[in-house]
Amino acid sequence: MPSYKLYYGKGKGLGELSRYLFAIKQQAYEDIRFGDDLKWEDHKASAPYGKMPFLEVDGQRFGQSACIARFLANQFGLAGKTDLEKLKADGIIDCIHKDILSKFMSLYMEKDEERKANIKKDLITNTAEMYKKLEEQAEGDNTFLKSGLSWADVCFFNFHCDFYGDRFDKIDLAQTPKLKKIIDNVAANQHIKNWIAKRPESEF
Amino acid sequence: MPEYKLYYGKGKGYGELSRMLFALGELEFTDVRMEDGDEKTKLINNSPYGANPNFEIDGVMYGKNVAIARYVAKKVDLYGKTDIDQLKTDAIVDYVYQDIAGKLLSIYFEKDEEKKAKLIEEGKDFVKNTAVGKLEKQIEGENTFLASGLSWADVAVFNFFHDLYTPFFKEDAFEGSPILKKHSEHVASLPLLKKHLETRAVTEF
Repeated sequence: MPSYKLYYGKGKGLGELSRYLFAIKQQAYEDIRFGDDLKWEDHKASAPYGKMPFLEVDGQRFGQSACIARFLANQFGLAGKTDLEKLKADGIIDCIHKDILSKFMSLYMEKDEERKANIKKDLITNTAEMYKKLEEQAEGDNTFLKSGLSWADVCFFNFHCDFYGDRFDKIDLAQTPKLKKIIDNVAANQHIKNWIAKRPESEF
Repeated sequence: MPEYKLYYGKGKGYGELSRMLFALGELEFTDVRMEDGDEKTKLINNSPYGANPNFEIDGVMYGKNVAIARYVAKKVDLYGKTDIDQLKTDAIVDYVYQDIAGKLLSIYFEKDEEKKAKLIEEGKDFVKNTAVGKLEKQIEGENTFLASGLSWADVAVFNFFHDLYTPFFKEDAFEGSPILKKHSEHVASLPLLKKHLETRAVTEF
């Protein structure tokens, strides 16, 4: 049995998708959070890509949040059953992480108020478009993949509830009934519920 | 044998990694290169994520360039043999096409000339003083990232720097890195890739 250590900051952010996957599988791991006791500055140079999260598996370190999550999804049988399902799931993750979450980062980093307002406007529009596209990708009854629950569902749940949340204009899920079922399905998972109830509180 | 069709524009861009992998695996596919116009716009608008490249497998459309390339890598046996090796290649490819390429894209789309000039300097500095070092550390084989041999990570790094970075910045990112220079030369010398480089359409990007 490999030993897992996930290194991230105090909040949910880009670490939470992996934490959800560990929770669903009830796989033990060390949930290491940088902060006052453990300074990120002291560890940044040794992180594979100079960023967090990174995952340590039996002492070896690996970076890139979506890649770590894909690895865990494959370990836990949550990546999809065939190469075609995995291709579909990969597309969904990339759409959420690369197209939209990257804009969150831009918004967060932008200092100029006018540019910030434009990024925010784009983010809201692009998110609405993304939801329409993702609705078309859903093939299962309450999952993206026909074969059942996968990390694509968890990734979307993470985006909708933790990233987008209440920060912007409310998204009307009545327009995307399949996406609503996907979110409800993940939310109803007992292990996800337990994790949400016990995880540290954080704004992001 | 499934029927594969790759849809992109005329250039190399984000379609080229998959094309190189098909070439290395001698796997047949239809290389659809579309002119700008109504047909291309219609395809893009109807596609899974509203952007090219798109990948049709037995009539079903799939999107996202790295996801597509990963699938092709699996089919031509260039994804890595173990879960850990596959994770390593995933991270290298995402670092290149997301972290590094992202900086290029933000330059490409910047309208303000002053900010653009600043972004160009920051981009070059990031690549030469940070990214190159990170990539060097990932090399575990003899001119390959994986100890087990060639993988799509090698092709991705070669493709990005040879076809996008160098033409865009008009300089060699690996000038100060003998390791990555050797790596590139090795990848370019692989007979099937060499043939692809010699016979592919010539485009700016």
